[in-house]
Amino acid sequence: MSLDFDQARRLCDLLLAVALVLQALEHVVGNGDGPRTRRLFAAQGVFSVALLGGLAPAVVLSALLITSCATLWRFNGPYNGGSDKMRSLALFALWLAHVLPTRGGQELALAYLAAQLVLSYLVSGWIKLINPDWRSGAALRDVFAYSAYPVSEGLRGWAQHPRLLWAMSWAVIGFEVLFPLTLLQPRALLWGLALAALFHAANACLFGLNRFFWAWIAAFPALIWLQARLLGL
Amino acid sequence: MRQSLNNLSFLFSLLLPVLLPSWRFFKTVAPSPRIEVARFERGSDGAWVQVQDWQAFRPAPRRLSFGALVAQIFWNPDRNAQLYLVSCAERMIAAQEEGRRCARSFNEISARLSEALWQAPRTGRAPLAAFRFRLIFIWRAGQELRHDVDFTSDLIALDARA
Repeated sequence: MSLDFDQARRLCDLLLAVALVLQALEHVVGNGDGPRTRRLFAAQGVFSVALLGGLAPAVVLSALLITSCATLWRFNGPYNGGSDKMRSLALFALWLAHVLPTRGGQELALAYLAAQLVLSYLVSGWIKLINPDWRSGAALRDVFAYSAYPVSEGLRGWAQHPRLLWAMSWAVIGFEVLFPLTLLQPRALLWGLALAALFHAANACLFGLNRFFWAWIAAFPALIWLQARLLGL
Repeated sequence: MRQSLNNLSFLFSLLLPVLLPSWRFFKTVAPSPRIEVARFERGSDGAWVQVQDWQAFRPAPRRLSFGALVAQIFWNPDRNAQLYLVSCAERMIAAQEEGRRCARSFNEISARLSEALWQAPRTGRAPLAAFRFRLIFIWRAGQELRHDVDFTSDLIALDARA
């Protein structure tokens, strides 16, 4: 499977639009936000639906960039840490990939998104690899034992299974550190991305980090395109 | 003009880590905050009396079914709001350790607690009340888990909402 630039950009647009619609709905329908914040996310939802429909993507992405800056301002930074960062980064890169005047510039923008996707796994894996607590499984034990992330108290019981946590730690470290090698072969990349999607889905189920799932898969088509571009497929 | 420049500089400081992220997820497992709330009501002498023990604010459920776990991939507003409050608590304590006060995070936490307590069902003719919240940080000291109270708010009256 390979994608040309236009296909990859459109697929990224679609997946990002889904991520933005879900985020907007959570704020508009869910509890906790005031009327001004709900209006802001309602606007984001409308623009995201327009992006899904492919209506004037350059204009719509410009509007979404403005709402993204407004939400950063509103929440004094990212609302949900890394997922907001990846979603905003994808938004910025896709905006450039539409508005830059030359095809070379547009390709650089999409390549930047793909490179950041690879770095997100590599850097995250590397800092775990050099940390003895991650190598021994102690860090993941603490994530389950007392961090704010487990979605139910029952999951905290996993902290009592050191062998399982050691294996899980090394599975995560191995996947993240080795992910860049999948760029060497198209089929390996597809398997790598499938594993990545599974990893994000597991994080959503166990830790409630659902926004990471949607933000990260929005960048997958950019990487499939970049690999084909680099390998000359 | 000066205010505009300050705002622009603040926005830039928010955008930079988004456009050039570090991706250092879970470098260490830091002390983890919990928010606890206690309700107060006026006694017969007009003084505030604590009428409820400290309680975790929206604690995680005991168990979730497999279906509920999977459904979270698509719809999880309460959990995301809870994680946002965790970020606010971390920002408050980071500011406190630097000798600053993070008013925005404090206001965010107190406003959301206030809203939740206001909407909570009340028994009988319970009078409008006040509450305090505190931030507890859990961390590992050797084989033990320690719970430190790092912040306790002043009384926050719900009367203002009447």
